[in-house]
Amino acid sequence: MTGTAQMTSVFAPSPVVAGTEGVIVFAPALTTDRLETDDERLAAAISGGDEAALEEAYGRWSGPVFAFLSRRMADRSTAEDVLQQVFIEVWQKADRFDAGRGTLQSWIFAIANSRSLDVLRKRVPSPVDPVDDGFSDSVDGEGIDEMEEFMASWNFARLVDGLPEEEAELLRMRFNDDLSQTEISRRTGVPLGTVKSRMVSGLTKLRTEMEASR
Amino acid sequence: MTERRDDDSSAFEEALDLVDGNQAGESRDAEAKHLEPAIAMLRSIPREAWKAPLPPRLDLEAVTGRKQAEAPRVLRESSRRRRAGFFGSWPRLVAGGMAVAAMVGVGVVLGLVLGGGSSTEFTPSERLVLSGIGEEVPSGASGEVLIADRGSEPLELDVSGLKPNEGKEFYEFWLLGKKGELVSLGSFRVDQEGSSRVRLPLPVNPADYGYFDVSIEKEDGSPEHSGKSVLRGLTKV
Repeated sequence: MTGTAQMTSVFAPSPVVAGTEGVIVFAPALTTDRLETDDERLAAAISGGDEAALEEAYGRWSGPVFAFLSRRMADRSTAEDVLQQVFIEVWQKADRFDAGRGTLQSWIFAIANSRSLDVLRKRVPSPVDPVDDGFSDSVDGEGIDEMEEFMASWNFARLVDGLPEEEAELLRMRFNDDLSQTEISRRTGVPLGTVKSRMVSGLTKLRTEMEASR
Repeated sequence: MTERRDDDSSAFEEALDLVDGNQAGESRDAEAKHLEPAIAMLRSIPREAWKAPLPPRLDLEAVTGRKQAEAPRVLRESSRRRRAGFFGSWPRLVAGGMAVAAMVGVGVVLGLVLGGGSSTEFTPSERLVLSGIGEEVPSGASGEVLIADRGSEPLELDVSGLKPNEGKEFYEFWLLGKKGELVSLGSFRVDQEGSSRVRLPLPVNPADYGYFDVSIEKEDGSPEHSGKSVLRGLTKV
């Protein structure tokens, strides 16, 4: 991936989860249509008892969901317990996933939001409802904003991962490691002017993605 | 989630510092303005989203219910808490244990082992009946608990004839020990016919408890048993 045009074909915005209009959620995917088709295929396979599909879903989303849970729970072992509960529900409720209401990633995050709040608030887990599709499985939308922000952050960080590595590395050093441009230049040996131009190049591509997702 | 900044400059000022200093002021400002949202977004990304902690490996058997997983720590803590609450709030249920046992005994049928290949989804090894309990329960209310072979599938609860849920009411499914211990197995709502069929994890051995119990609960934030049981049955033949 070497340019904006190619990035656009690789990253597409995910549908916005109902009730969270206005929140931009960036999702790596081939196209929106492909994303939905892929989500539906995976959900259907899981609901049909396909363990390989469950493993595929776990491989894709256990990372971001565990990152979210680790941040919210501030305790790794509790986050691990909740993560397992989340994927038990994914296994049991995949037939309720509705691609018209959001991505599979959003759906799994919504479950994670509810289960983590159950633990934090020490409340009774939300009832199993014959018509509940999981997206609304949260008391009064509690925690949704934080969950959506994290999901957007996660997906935006993956956009950075998709940039040319020499640009991505500089942006990570600047915004994750909190290094100044001068420190980055000194550590990498890249002239300061080049550091700036590469960062501008990466930022311009990210900005293009943000505009495309609106 | 804006939590981390390494200096006090605004995203716009940082963008301004990055763009080509040889550009005319207006053009430079416009480019900086264009880049500003991307910088603001990058600044807001928490550390966990940049580099995620490694998740545990998938315990496929536990997640799919093919084995009875160790009870999650959270649930075990919950169980202890509920036990205390149960004794505090509903001692009469404990005191009435003998009467309850006599009543639910009539609702139990022999365990049923289904023949191999009869169902690829769920193969119960025991089928236990739940009977109505309490004054407000419709006369036809009943339930079945299907317990699969240990190490294969989770538990399935099938209820019918219950009063349809009103407002934020829901039903909760419990294991009730003969000394009043309570473990919540999950909660559910019923359809307009009063029926529901749910499959739930079984994190503990039901044989260690005396009864399955279904209670009607309100969404009041309390994790305790409401004291209003509607169905109950023994956990073993």
